[in-house]
Amino acid sequence: MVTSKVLNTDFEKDFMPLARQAYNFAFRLTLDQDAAKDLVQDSYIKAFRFYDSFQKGTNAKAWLFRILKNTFINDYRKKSKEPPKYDYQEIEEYYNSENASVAPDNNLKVDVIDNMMGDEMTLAFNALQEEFREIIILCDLEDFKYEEIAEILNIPIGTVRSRLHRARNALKEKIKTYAKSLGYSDEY
Amino acid sequence: MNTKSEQELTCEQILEEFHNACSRSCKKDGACIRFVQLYLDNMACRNKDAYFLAGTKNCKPCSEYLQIHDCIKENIKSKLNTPELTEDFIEKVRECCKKEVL
Repeated sequence: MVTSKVLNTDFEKDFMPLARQAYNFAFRLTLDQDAAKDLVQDSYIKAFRFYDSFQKGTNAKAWLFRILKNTFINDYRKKSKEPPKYDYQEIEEYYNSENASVAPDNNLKVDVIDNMMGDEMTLAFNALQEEFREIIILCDLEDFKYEEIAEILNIPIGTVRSRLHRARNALKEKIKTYAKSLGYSDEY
Repeated sequence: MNTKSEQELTCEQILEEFHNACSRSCKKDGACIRFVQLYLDNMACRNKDAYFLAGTKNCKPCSEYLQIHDCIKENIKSKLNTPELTEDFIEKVRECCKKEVL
């Protein structure tokens, strides 16, 4: 049973410093400030409720993020405005095959990316599908390793790897499209 | 490498593959692009960077791929807009948790 004393000491120390990072992840999943706040609040209540099952000394952030992700799947995804889903399993099988090993074409200039404003990068990023946004956030902003991402998203490590690869390429294409529409460069 | 074996790889095996692949090139089996991806994913061992970079110099497409995606990664880190979370909200979360105790 979690007591008031635990709330004021261990839980506070382990989890409250993660609130902003949890909100950032929640916001990238929901793309809505109010929904993200509700999701963070619900996730913290669940984390607190099940704090007894958290193993001290293990990765608190990964544990909290997994709760948040599961809460999102169970309670929020239906409410969010998402584009149509694709058969990811089929696509991932392709990307895990040898066909995916060929070197990609590189037709976006570094200068163009560096010159883009925060709003433009944000628009390009938010235009990605949920599966791609979440995995880029977990790897590039939150610095989780493959094992931790696999645990948070409940997918195999091989899938983490291939999905990250596809997410990066999809983001590059979104940035290219936005850059072109904004007239950054004609050389693509 | 088939789909099943890729799915079953552990991180240690992936890194071993990465280090073994350093001397190969894309022309042979796509190993080069695989370790570029590991590098981008923060999975490549830092003290192997010099070895890694020497390998990618031989492969222009992979070298450019790394440059572009490294740039995107840095820009996402530095420019992505996220609304601020206020102390009031964090306090509200604390209060909600406290209610669970009562």
